[in-house]
Amino acid sequence: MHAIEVWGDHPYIGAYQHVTPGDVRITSKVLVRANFLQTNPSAFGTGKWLMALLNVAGGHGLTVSELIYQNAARLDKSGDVYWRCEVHNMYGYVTGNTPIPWVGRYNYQAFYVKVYVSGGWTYYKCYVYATSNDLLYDTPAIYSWSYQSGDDNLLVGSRRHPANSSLIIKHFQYGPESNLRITETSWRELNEFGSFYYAGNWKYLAGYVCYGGPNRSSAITYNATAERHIGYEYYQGVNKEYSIDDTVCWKYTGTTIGDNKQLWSGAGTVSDMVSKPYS
Amino acid sequence: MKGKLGDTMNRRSLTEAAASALVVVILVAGLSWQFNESLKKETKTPEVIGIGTPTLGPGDIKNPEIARYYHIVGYVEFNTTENTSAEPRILAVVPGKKAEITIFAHFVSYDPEVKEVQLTIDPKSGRSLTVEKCYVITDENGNVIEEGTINLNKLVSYDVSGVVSIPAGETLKLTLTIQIPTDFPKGVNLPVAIVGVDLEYPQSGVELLDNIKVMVRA
Repeated sequence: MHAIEVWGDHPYIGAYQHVTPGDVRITSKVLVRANFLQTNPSAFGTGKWLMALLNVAGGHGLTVSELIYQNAARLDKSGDVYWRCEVHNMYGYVTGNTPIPWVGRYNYQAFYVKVYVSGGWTYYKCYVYATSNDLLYDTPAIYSWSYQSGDDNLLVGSRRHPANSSLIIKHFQYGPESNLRITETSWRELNEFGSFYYAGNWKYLAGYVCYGGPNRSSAITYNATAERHIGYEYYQGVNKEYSIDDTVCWKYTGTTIGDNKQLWSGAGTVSDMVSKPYS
Repeated sequence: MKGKLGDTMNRRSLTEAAASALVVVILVAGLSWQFNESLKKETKTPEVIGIGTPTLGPGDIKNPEIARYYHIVGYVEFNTTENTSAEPRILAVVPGKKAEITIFAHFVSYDPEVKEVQLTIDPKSGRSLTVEKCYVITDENGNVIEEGTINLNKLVSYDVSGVVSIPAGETLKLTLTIQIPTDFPKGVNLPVAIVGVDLEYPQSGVELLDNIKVMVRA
């Protein structure tokens, strides 16, 4: 059932990191930092919101668990930012008792959304840096929530669906999602330091564009007969303002960046001025 | 005549035999085709279906049609009377004293069978939401002379504890009390949220919308 007629498009566009399909990495932690500093939310259409959304697949070793973890900072037209965690399995939304707290304003410096797995539990955190002094002194507000998932680890990289080799599953991806396309203003969403913990460091791989929606460019996990992708539509009209290693600034321009276009080619270790989100 | 009849009958028999043979051939061919087709079906690559994953916002959760689609049976919305301005309310507090915030918890049910929600209230349980605030104290030159973390859950209590019920369509008034430690650092904004509130019944399917926009500051 496609529910677009019922409640809007849920457009999404993301950055995914990989080397080549089949190169899947096991990790315990992933994160991305976001801000909306160059966005005027009051120009959003009524009821519309813009989300900085991190998505990652759960696993048991290299095998997918068929769970998806989503951790997001959501900017409303009011200028308020709310924290949102979700867990999905292959066919449904399995949470439903998540707190959805107010965590800040559109002009806050940074929201780090992080997911990690330990002892069969999946932990969600949101590190909120309200001011430049918070960044300077590394003094965030930290919001935490956990879910007993049974998963052993998270997955990064990509692979081909065993029943349809043209379908690339992208296990770690992040980017903007809305309930309805925001076309009223040239909004920007900065995603920085998208990374995963690997061999003792926070690493990133080359980044590429993936489209939400029925073309399945944003497929993130799978089973023998199905795949689960992020969003319901691709975010038409969104391009990049710029991108460098581990960073992309998304901007609504009216023209859409190409699917699978490379955002950055480098791979390496993240270098950030704060340390608490990486602990 | 007899011979002709016999010839005719023989020809007819031959014709019938040939027709029967043809029918048999067609039947065999048909069965063989069906068998091949069924074999093909068995070995055909299964179709991979695609399933979208929209992330739900408050508009989705407050829309019964959407919410039911995602097996959400209702929501509890937490509000204060004061948070009507864009910026968060800053509640001035005194170290060593208590600060109180009145909260209204309203339950909306989408399922006639779910006539009430039961919440477990225990901020120190470590379940559900936790909130911390990191801080530093600096000297006049900006050098850090002290750093620490305030855990909101350890400071918060409610006027009710354990399991509380909210009937569908009704609002529960709660008082959230924060015991401000004597060494609470000056100038630090500690965000307040509905910490330590978890679902007891139903076990899942109820969202907790926390609209508390308050920070305490000494």
